[in-house]
Amino acid sequence: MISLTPWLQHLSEHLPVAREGQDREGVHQVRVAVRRLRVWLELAGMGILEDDLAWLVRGAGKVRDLEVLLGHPRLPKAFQDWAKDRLGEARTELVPMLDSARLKGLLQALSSLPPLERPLAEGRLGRFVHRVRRRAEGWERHDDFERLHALRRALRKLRYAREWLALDTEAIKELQDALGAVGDITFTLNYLDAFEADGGKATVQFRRGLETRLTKALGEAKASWESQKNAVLS
Amino acid sequence: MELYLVRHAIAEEALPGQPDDTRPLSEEGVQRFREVVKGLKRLDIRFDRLYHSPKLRAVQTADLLKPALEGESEVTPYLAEPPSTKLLKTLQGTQVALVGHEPWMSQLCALLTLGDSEEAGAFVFKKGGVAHLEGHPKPGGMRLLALLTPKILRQL
Repeated sequence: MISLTPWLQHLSEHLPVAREGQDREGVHQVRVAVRRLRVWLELAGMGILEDDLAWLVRGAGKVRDLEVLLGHPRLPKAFQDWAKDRLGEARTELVPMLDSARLKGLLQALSSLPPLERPLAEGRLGRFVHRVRRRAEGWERHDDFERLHALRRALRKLRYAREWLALDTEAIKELQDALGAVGDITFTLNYLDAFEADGGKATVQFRRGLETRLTKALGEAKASWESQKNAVLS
Repeated sequence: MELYLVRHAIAEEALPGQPDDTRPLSEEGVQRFREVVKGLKRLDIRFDRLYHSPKLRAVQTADLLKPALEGESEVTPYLAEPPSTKLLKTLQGTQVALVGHEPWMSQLCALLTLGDSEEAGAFVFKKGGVAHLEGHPKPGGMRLLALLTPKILRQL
């Protein structure tokens, strides 16, 4: 039997830290826990509560992405100030979510779910692999960032599904690191676009530096996919 | 707003020491409620929002109702307590389903149609039964269009 209790506890322990906002780990761990709980629900074949977890992960995700952006070592000062303002806004939106009746109900509902029968979960693992295969085909066919990120999300779900089943995840983790590097640079560039759309200005050098790193990371991601795909899809 | 009040399907009795929140649906409850959902779909009933109580039997009933949902679901503790304005203020959508428990579903039906939850005795909700209301979700703001027993819905 596979109980969701460890990750539900992890979530419950980090919600107050996320609400306080002093420790970046709070929001990060809330998002990590929620993503694992979503995969548990999928392994259980449950469609309900998914929207509630998605709602929570969206709120936490806005804060987390900006916190990661602000952790960038060479962020131009004006871009950094802009990101700090956006982070303040994201936090202002997150706190009422963490105080809401919906979250209280969600925690209550999750805590009432019975453990998942292992054979049932094992029977659903194939869907996770199939999703990775479909996303990979889309990426190979179109070679764009959107499809690469879709593959990254599918890999994350497969990894968490295998973790719930206590199966090996080394090949997936390695691949996730390579694809994650592309993701990190892409989202920094997306924020840079938003900053400039708001009237901000960063140096051409800064943008070019990111674009050069992106090209390199993309090459590494493709090489990593070629070397790991058989292990991941087996 | 069209509102569908749904009482959870048939659940197992609590085992000694088992919290009420964790009582699951029985196998019979699952099978019968699947037929209820088919009946709702034959009536071409679809929801754009589904709210449910966090108790396991309501969560599982809401999960069975999901094929009729074309929007978002939301868990709310306000459906695991007597009806209140807090619940009514939560509601969004135009075709809305609420999955909850007795006596609160009858009380909610009485509050919305008659303006007084004390009149709950006028409504009988079988497990898996559905009340169809229309109007504004405020005390006395809705009218009852149908009170469907699970038996009727299964036979559609």
